[in-house]
Amino acid sequence: MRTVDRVLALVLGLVGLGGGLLVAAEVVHGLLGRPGHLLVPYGGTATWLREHTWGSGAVLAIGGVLAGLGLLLLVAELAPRRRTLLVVAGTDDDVVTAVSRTGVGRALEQSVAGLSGVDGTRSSVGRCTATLTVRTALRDLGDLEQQVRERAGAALGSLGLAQAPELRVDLQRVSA
Amino acid sequence: MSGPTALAPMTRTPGAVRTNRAVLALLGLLLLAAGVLTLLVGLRVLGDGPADRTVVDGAVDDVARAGWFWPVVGAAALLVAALSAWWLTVQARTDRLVRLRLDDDAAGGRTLLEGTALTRAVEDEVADLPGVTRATAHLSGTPSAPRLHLRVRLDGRVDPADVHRAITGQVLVHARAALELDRLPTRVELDLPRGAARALG
Repeated sequence: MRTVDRVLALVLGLVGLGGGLLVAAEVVHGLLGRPGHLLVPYGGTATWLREHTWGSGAVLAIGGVLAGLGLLLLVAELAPRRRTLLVVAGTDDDVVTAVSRTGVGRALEQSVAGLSGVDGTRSSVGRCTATLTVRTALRDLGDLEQQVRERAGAALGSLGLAQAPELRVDLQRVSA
Repeated sequence: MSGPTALAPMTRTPGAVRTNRAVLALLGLLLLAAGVLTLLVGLRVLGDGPADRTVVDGAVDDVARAGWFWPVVGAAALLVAALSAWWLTVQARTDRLVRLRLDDDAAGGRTLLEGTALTRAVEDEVADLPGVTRATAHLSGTPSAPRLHLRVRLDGRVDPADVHRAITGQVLVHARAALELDRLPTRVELDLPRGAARALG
């Protein structure tokens, strides 16, 4: 969201700067009694506004679009930002170390990548739960789930998180 | 351990992040208000009269003919341009601390240290730790009360907790000693790359 905000800020900032200066120039142009427009051909827009009532479909559509965009922007900006980093436990109060949720997911996936019978992995890490999905073509799973759970649990423990998410393992059979 | 267990990623432009959020929320509110008002008038919620009038009619023309109208419009446009220019300049403002004050003793004078001298030393020391492929650092805060921000890319062969211990117990101790500071609040972000081999289990 920060990147989207940054892009919006640059675009809207430039539009506001350019538009504000243009409108001010047009006003000065008009106040000096010069005929026509300076740079902005606003005649067509003025005519359109004189021809359409507030109840016309086009004006209502514009109102709807404005309201929709405004609501979207407002909700997006007021929504709490996702805390994508999980804090590592430490003894020094002056030092805060954190690892990204995707990083935690990668650690879990890599911990089981070498296991026999593991054909693919996927992970999803939240603040409370970390789900490791393992795809296998084995017909007889044997103790694969137990091995995955042990390795992933060890990997999660080795991260030393202040509040480790609960590990969930999901074994999915795929055809060989 | 007290404090949060989850954090948002750090940024070098916290002021711009806060400002963008506030300005965009305000713009969203203005757009929403304008849109809702248009719909209320157009859908006759506020009565039949306004909905049948054109958007620009005689009453609007009368106001536009008043002597004060266009100068006010021009001033408002310049205000919008000035606020937009300020918004653009905010984007380039970082919290980076350029110099550190090492000695604030009135009798002994003032000793300043370039921030990059410390951050480069910290980056080099962290990069030499086992399991670290790359480290970047920057300082924020004030010259007499700096804060260190570290981003560390790991190779996945060493436990992140071990790297954390090495940074805390070794690198930051050296940094504090070099600056003759009792405290150096530090934030470290560890990055585990995709595809790295972890020798676990």
